[in-house]
Amino acid sequence: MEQQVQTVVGVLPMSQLRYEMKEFTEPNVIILAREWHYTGADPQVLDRIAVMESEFIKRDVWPTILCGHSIAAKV
Amino acid sequence: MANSAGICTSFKVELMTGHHALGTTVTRGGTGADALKMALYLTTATVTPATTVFSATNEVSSANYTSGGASVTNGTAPSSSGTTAFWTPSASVSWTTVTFTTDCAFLYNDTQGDRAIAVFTFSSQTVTAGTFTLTMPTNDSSNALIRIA
Repeated sequence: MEQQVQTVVGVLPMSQLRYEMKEFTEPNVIILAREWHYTGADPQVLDRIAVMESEFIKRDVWPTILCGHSIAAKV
Repeated sequence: MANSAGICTSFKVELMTGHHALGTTVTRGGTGADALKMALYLTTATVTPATTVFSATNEVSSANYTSGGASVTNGTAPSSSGTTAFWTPSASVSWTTVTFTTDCAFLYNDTQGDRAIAVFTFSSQTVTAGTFTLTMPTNDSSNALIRIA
């Protein structure tokens, strides 16, 4: 049975989705994001996506803290 | 070996484990390990190192996100290396199937009156019906989430 994926426009089959990974590098944080796009042809879904601000219908984010905070002691 | 001045490294570790009560009275409540939490905030929030306690003002809102944030897994005792004491949560903090935009995570002590511990920021990130996982740094004297050097 095909995997189903929860998105903001409903639950869709994996075969109608594609995703791309993006990486943002910051001084103390690396952020990985996975943006999902619809590749199907259902006009109802396409109509809903057309009025959305962003093209992606699902986005996962993983910020990784590279280095936390340090408190320096002084004598 | 000559004498040398400095804050004792063991004291730095013991600040994190609640061994010392400086001042004129003991203000700490309870004797067990504290429960810690991580909350997420909107980009319009003003959470800074001057923040003293958790507040729900401008906290993110979403299905599958409960105000107050998520519990932080505290399975690793603070330790030290050289003269630096350090501590990092023993697991990442994660929310699934959430929708919000955030640029700030706030670590606080849920047991001790929601007292603030630290604020972490990053560029604004939008999660859409997705997973948000804050991954922790390496738990060592150079990278740990909390370090007292």
